[in-house]
Amino acid sequence: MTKKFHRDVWVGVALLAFCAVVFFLALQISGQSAVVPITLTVLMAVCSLFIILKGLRLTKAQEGEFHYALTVKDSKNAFLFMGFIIIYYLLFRYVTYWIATPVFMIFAMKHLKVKSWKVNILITVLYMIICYVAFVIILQLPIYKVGVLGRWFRYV
Amino acid sequence: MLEYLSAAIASFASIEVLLALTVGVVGGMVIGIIPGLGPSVGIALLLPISFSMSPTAALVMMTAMYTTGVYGGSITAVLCHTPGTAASAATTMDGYELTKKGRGMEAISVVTVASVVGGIIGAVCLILFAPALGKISLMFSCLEYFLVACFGLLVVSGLTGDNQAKGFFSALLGLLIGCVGMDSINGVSRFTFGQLWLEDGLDSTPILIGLFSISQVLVLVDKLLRGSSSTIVDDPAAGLKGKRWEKGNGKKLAPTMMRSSVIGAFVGFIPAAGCSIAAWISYSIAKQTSKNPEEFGKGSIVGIAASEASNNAACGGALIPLFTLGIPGSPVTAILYGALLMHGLQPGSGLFTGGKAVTTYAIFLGFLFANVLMGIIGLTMAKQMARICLVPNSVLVPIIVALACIGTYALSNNMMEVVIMLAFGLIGYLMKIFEFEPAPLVLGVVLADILESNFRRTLIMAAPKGGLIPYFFSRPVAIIIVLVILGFALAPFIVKAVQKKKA
Repeated sequence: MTKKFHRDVWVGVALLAFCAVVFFLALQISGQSAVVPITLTVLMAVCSLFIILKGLRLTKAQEGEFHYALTVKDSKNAFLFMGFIIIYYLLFRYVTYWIATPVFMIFAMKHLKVKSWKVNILITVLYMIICYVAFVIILQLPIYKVGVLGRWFRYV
Repeated sequence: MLEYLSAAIASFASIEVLLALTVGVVGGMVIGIIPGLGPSVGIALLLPISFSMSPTAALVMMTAMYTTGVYGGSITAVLCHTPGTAASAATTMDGYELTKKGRGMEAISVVTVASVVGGIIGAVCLILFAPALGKISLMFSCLEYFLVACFGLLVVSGLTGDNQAKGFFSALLGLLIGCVGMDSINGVSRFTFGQLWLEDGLDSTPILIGLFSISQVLVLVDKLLRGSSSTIVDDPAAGLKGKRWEKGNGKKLAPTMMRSSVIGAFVGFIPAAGCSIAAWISYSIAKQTSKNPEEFGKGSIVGIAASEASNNAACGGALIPLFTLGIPGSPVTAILYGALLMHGLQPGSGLFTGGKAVTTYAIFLGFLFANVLMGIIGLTMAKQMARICLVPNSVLVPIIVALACIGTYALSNNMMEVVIMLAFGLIGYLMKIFEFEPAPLVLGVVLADILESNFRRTLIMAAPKGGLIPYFFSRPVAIIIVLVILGFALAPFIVKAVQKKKA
């Protein structure tokens, strides 16, 4: 049976590949402006090698399965929620904050197991009122410029 | 000076000034709490309002907002892992851990006391030594700014966590991210991929909010849906049972607060250095000199006190070159510079003699009392503020996301900042998964421009003087800073060697 590598080995390899791409991009920069990015990339590559070496040391010392506090596989909930946040951003960007936010908040609270609709809606309404007073009326944030329906919520 | 001070007290004790002080303190705390919005936004908003006010009242209100804005940012850093400003990022590391243990009230109290001590020491430096320190700050040039930034970078070694290679990689990545945009010396675009919005570079605040706030939101969501934790505190039943102030905290924290305040005031008065660098340096020194460095990052009140005393002392320090030389070292002081001119106060020696000296010292007194009032409000409200950690995560998470989005947008009214914030939220979460520390990355981003631009300016300035080495030896302040850096870097090895010899 082949021994499994510690994940730091793969992380180091991925970072090394990232450094190679950045190094290639840094070489395209003209003149003195390239010196710092190139130097940083080389140093990052050295760090990546150290990460790989540490990973190999941990692999060598392995007894049984590796146990990690957090893994990509176990983080499905987090990545799914990140997807919701991205959808929220798109609604904010293309519709308006004042519609995107209540939709997101109500949906997110329901997803996160707030059972009572009353509580859910009350918190959303309170947040929206406070937010509107603070950002639009007091701070005069030109948020009406964002999204096609933004101008409907302009405070005159 | 005493005669000016006594006249300033009379000028300060008017209803208009006291009201302005209260508005500045409360407004600063509120604006600091909102992620993304910092004192610079608040002060900019006050500019048109203050136009019809007396110069003393207007500047007292603005300087009060400056110091309390930095404090306000630390409240959310401690309670929700969401630093309001870059200056509070160092506080997040220990403050949030303490909150998780159900000691949120104590964390808020330590933040408040340390901020007040730091703020008062910064204000005392401002009142007593402003003209003298102003002359010293004139001795700083590109080389000295560069060396101070190097000192800041040295701090990384104390923030790397268990895997040093990963910590240094984060710091280098931060420095590389700081290179994005137009090179300030040659005007060459770097890593912009033809995107105009990247030419100005990446602001550290959206990166900070993403790395600390959004990534923590994802952790909370994951825990919540797995049923392992419904509130920030590990044991909600014991959430507010912790004491406001443990016996012996004063004695334990006093040396750290005093040392960090002095460091903060010193770093603050160096233009371009600022509160965040001061906080990181003090945090790292506190960790290095602590008998229990292993407690740092796991809820050490000494760590909280170090960064908090320092960032508030740096506010007072930053006002020194502004009032004495008219050098604004940060966006906040640049707005304050505009406010001074708007009210007919031309920075320089003229502010410390004659009739204008009374106004100047009244403003300084206002800054001092703003810190005291901030302490009173902060300690009174500590229990109420700490209740945030008992709010269910299912309610807190959507609010943090919505607030982070609008706060980041408000930074420069640009949706691309929100994209950056979310991207770094995801990066921050991946960093948590693969056990990379986010703090060195933030520090790298903050220091990148100061380091590179000042180093290259130094090379340009050193060329006609025979090169870098002769230029370095012609600058006594630079030599002192290098000696301090060497002392800081070598101290742990020397201490270890001495201990080994003794054993």
